[in-house]
Amino acid sequence: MSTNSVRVVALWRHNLLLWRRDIPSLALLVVMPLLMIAFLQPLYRSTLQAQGFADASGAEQAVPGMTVMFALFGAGIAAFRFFDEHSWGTWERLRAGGVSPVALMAGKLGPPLLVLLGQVALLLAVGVALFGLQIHGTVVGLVAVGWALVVCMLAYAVALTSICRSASQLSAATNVGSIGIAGLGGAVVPPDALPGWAAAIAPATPAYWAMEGFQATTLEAGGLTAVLPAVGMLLAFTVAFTVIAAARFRLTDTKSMS
Amino acid sequence: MNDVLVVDDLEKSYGSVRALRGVSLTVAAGEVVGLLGHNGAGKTTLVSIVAGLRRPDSGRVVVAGVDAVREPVRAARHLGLAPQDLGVYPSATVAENLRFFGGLAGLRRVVLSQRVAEVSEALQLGPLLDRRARELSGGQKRRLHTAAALLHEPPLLLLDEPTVGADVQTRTSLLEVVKGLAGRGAAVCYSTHYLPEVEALGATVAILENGTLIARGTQAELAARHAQSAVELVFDGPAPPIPGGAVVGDGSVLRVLAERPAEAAVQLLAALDGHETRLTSVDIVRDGLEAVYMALTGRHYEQEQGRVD
Repeated sequence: MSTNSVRVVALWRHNLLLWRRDIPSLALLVVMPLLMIAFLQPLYRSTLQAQGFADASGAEQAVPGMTVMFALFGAGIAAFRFFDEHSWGTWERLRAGGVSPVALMAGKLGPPLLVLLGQVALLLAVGVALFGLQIHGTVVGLVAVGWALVVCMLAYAVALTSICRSASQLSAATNVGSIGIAGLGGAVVPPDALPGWAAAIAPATPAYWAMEGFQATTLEAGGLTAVLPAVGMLLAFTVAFTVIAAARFRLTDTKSMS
Repeated sequence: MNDVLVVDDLEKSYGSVRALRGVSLTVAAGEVVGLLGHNGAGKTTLVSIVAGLRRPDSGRVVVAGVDAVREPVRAARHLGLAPQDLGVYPSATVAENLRFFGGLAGLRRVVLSQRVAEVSEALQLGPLLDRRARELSGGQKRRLHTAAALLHEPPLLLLDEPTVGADVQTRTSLLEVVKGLAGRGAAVCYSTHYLPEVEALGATVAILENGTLIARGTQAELAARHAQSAVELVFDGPAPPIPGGAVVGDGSVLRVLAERPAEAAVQLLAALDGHETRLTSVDIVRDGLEAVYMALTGRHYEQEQGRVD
């Protein structure tokens, strides 16, 4: 193993440890959405049935909807991991540790990639097991949408980090951004029930395309081609967030915790 | 001599403020250099540039033969940095912190475990290995912070005010470790506000003043060149004019240079002529580093904390 790989592995291990120790954040990412699904499912059942999905359980909206919204919160928490390094005084140590910038970012982003993948997989799996989520379409398509959503959220996390200078800015951006993007994208209210102005701009959010992709395989019996537009758009958002991050992210930036 | 660190004509400005003005410095293997200077003198800027954290405006930095300006990542692999501000992971244990920083430095498996054991023993962290960093005292955190820079036995060690806020035990063990590392061939840059530490380390000295390196040499060389013993009388209010004395500081200090300061103090006290009621203290400045610093800058090397320069 090269010394660069040793360094990246050390970063991965250590950052996974830090995620494991942050129980409140993990609870937010998993327990909160499950509670929300339990509360909202009956409401969504009647809404979906009124829209013509006679055998809908409500999980088809609740599970993907809360998965998307809390993946957005997960991106915010991933962004906070960079701010934590500044707050703990460890960012400069990392930079002076003989790690290349690419290896440093790989080491920092690997663990949240796993956490977000785990979160999405767990919520969908529990949705099937406990809330009666039915997958009428292709499972491969569902997995592809989940992957694309997670990669998109990781790029969103770095873009957030690059734009926000203080923890309070990041906190506001995470909360308003998560609820706003999720709401506009049809993750809170089914897309067909969105007010006209929101429905018009919904496609400009990654949440909309994630919901489209998920529901193509849950509410409908879509195959792989049915989810391709959604996956494509999520990857396009990933590129856009990456461009923002590349333009704004500087290893030398300082972050204020106030 | 085998120079581990070569700094040549380094310039750095922040806006209109020139933090470093043509600083040149070499540090040889096995040498400890005490980097002295008041807050704002440029010590931390110099250390940051050597560590690759900041880019200089011009000049050259070579660490163990690697150009640190052109190849900061490769150069950083030859150094260990303990920045002025504490940098440890509060939710990780002492052992987890050390293993991480060791891994980040490229250590693995048996070697990593050995080094964690050795360094934690040297800095008396052994009994604390399973304790989370957030539960440590300030001195214990400082030891962990410094230990993390030593794990990979770097040829160049940059310690930026490593004993700020540290207890006596921490200070003592740290000085022993630094001496040991230098004895095994490491070059050490030791920035500090405590002159007795530099004296205890037997370090050579580099004094920065307003971004300029104003003195460099062994303590004996600098003392022979610059130091003079003095008596300082501090008054409550303006110091009275006394022949042969100089009023310094805020105007309340009368300084008289003297080869035999104790005798001079007695004579001065006798000559106060009624001003003794305003006298608040009598200080004798010996011809050590303090006297060198005072002769070069006109100021005491007082301990100041809480500001980054």
